Amino acid sequence: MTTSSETKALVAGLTTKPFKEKRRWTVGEIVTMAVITVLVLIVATPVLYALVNSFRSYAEITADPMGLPTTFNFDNYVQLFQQTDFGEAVLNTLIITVVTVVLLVILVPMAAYGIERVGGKAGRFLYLLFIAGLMIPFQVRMIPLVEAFNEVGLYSTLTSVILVHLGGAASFGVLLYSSFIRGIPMDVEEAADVDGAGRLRTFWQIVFPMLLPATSAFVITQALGLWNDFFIPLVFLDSSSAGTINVAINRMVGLLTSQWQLIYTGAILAIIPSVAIFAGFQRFFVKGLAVGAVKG
Amino acid sequence: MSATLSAPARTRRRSRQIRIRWTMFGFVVPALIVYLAMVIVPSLQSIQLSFTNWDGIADDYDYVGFANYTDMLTSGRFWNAVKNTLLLGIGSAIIINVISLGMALLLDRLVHLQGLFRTAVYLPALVSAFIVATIWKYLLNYNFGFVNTFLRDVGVPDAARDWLGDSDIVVWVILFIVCFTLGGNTTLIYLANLQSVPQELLEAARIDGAGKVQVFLNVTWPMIAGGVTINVTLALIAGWTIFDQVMVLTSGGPGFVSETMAFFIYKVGFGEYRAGFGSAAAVVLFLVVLISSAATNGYMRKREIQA
Amino acid sequence: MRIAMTRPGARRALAVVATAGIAALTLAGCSGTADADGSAGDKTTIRFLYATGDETWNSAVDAIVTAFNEQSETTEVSLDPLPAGSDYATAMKTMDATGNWPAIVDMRDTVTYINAGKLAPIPTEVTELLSDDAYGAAEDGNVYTVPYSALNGELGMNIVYNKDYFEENGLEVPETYDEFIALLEAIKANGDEPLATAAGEVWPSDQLWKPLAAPYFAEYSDEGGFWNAVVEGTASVEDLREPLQELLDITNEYVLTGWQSTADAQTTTLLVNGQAVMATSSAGLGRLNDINKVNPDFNAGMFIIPAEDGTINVLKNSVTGDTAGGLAISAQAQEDGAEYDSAVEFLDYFYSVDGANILEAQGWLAPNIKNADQVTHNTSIPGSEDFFGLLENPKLKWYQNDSSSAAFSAFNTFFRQTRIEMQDGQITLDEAIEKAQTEFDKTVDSAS
Repeated sequence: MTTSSETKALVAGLTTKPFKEKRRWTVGEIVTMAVITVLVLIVATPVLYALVNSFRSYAEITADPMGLPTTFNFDNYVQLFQQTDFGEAVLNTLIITVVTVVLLVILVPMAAYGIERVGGKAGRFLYLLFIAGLMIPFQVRMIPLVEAFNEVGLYSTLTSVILVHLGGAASFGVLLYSSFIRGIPMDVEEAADVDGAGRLRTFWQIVFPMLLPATSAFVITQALGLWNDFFIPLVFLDSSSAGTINVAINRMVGLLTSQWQLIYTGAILAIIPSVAIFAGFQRFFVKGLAVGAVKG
Repeated sequence: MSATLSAPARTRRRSRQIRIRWTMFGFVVPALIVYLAMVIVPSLQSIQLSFTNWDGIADDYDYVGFANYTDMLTSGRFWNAVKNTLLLGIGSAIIINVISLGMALLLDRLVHLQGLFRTAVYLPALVSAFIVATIWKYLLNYNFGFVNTFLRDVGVPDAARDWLGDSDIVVWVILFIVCFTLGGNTTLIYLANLQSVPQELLEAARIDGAGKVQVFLNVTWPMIAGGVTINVTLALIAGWTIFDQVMVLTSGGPGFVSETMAFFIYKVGFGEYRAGFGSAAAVVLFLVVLISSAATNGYMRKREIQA
Repeated sequence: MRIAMTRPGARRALAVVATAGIAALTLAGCSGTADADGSAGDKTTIRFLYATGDETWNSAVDAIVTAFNEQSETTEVSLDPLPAGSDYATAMKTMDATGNWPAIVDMRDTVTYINAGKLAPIPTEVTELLSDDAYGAAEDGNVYTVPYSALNGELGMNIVYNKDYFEENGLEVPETYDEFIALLEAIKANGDEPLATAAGEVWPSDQLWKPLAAPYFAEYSDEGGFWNAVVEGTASVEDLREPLQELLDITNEYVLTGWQSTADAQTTTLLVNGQAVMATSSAGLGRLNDINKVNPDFNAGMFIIPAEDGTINVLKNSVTGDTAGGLAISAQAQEDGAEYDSAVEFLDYFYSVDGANILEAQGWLAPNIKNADQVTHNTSIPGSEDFFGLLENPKLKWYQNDSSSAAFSAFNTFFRQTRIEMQDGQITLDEAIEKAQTEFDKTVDSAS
């Protein structure tokens, strides 16, 4: 495993622009850019289709699914929030995402650290226990969990969704953080040699900041996964809850008519936050992924 | 170090070390509790439930031994679901990794604006699988979907098929939609892997006269082989549980043709109130995941060592 | 933006505001106590709690309550609308927990509240206005809920067709099954697509199946229904061979390609764009409303596939007084005599011919009252006169077919998927019958 100084060098090497940037633009490069652009546009077709249709009325879409908008009004956007509980669904999704991520960041790095430092057979056992979770598909624990939440009266609450996600993400988190922590030499902590609560402070003040690349990659992958999740909220939130964004959109695919104009609008609205946040934080994210990728 | 200490000091150090270890264990406890409660315990309960005929709502149930398993293993519906699960799982894992590696290679060639294109390539991954599938469902409609309308307009009306209703091709269409992405995370990870290949090695190979392909096979590939193994394994695990697209696009239809095990468990165990039976199917799915992950990992590690 | 106010302008504005303020205070004084359920002057005010979400229902409630308030001398109904779905059931629980029951409630979770004694029995003066099979008694013999809309069973499961096309081609609504097949043939001969159906979400596959199977189901209506007979052994899935064959033949010969992946909602698009002349539907007036919204010029019509002898067999609703939803009077209102009387008065009006007419005028299907023949149906939407015509069709025959097994719905889903498999050509008719029978024996039979 690489040491922390090597890590720093690696990160620096991976995230600064290649020194050859002073080179001229080659034809090959331009062709590559064109190819990438075309590919991105092709793959983005469904999203573009949704965007176009979010400006059309129900009648327009149903009569002519392939037509173009006649006017550019935001009626659908307004209608979505006024006539359905989409607004509440967005709030729910936000709550689930933020709370789960915060809890994960509090619990998981600490746990991975503990596992690595416990060491010995116990440490190995704990590590394998957590990693095993990666191979347990959600379906295996789904039915008993529903029943359990029902019994404690937490069924169809956001809490149940949050807890389920916490369990599921713990495995990946431990995997990710463990490999990072192995690269951190113990002498840093020995230097701050204190017992008990001091250890806690040592962890948060010294070790945790060194795990920042891992944390950023973890936070973004988990946040994205939570925001876009469909299955778990579908199972744990019934009609007494407004659901999450995906669940709310799914309900708009109705019995005798589907509210297509609202579905497309909801889809666009669901994508905007992800794009905005990713565009803003992509530097940190890539850095984290880069280090994680090489270490893994 | 302890050899240079006196005996009482050694004991003090030992007990302090033990205390430290317990403190460290304390660090693990909160996450451990959640993990046990949310993952381990329910999984064990599933195994127990798989031997019952519980319906998910009633208060009591009977033990039926292996009845659920025999029912399942003798039902064509189950094996069809297994076939689809394997197809979608393995197919998507391989195809997505190939696409991701390809996109990473393309991105790697960029000297200017790499950040911009990196973001652009990642954007499709920001949309949830559910939303993508919902929109595709409409695009693939036989009579007025964009795909068929386009084909008819361009002059190849015979190519227009009932993409989601033709039982011969529907599973392949679902696979296509699952893989219709530019790779997202996986692409960026491969890009990082590629960029970690030391420049000197590449230069050396080129100076020796190796062509682009040879450089890739002999220098680049061995260096990223480890990453490939992990990515393929993770993609496989994700592939076994593909649900969103199946549910949205076909609900397992037409008939039972496109059901996968993950969907089957939800539909039957959950939706049709056969919790015992569903749990048995879940256990079988778990075994499939376990065996396949171990096998793939073993296979790829071997190739890694060879590389 | 600042609005410059000249001095005269300012004074005028002030005067207006002052007058408005005085007027508001006066009116406020007249509107009685802030208490919703109380006495305001002479009239008893009662609250009517209901779920929104269906626009037609919202305007119907509004209209009938306004009309009632105008003509009542003793009662004032005030509306208490709640968003449907997420909040309604919870709001009811909260309302119960805080002891804040309105007099009239649109019920959910009926059994629970009956058992908890929260509902008052509906008096006979109200129930005798309704058709006998429009309501049911609970276990204790009392009626606790009454319907707020017509219970027309599966009358809404029918064929919607393009009237203009029929006219242009000299086609007529079929009166026997053979005429129906001939109709399909004629359209096909024209080079057009006769029938669109949907199976994309599985449940719409009932739309073509049920009318074909109805004549066979109807035979067992008096004996407790077909499916219960299968449990008892006096019938089997094999008895459905003929309608299954019909289903298969029609699918192969006359149904628009792509039905396997078509969603029910998309049949509107297909009709309106002329991609099919007829389409199956289970939404009754709802489908007609939808078509009208998309293309107001489309001339739609409706009919139900008749049996060989011309009978129109339609499944009727089962109304079990324990679980039925509908309007209820709260026990809390009963304790307050005046509120109870007001609630009864409102319900009397609701089920009067006047009340029914008001509901219908909004496009809402009024509940089945005994004086239904005096009610004017809203036939403004193309095709709706056909729908109401079905109700009065002499060939209409109701039948019942409720399975008493809780495992039936799981079997039903399996049966639907099996039929789709058969229609899609993945399995043969014989295999489908065998598969369905085996599944039935395994799930429904063993559970009963």
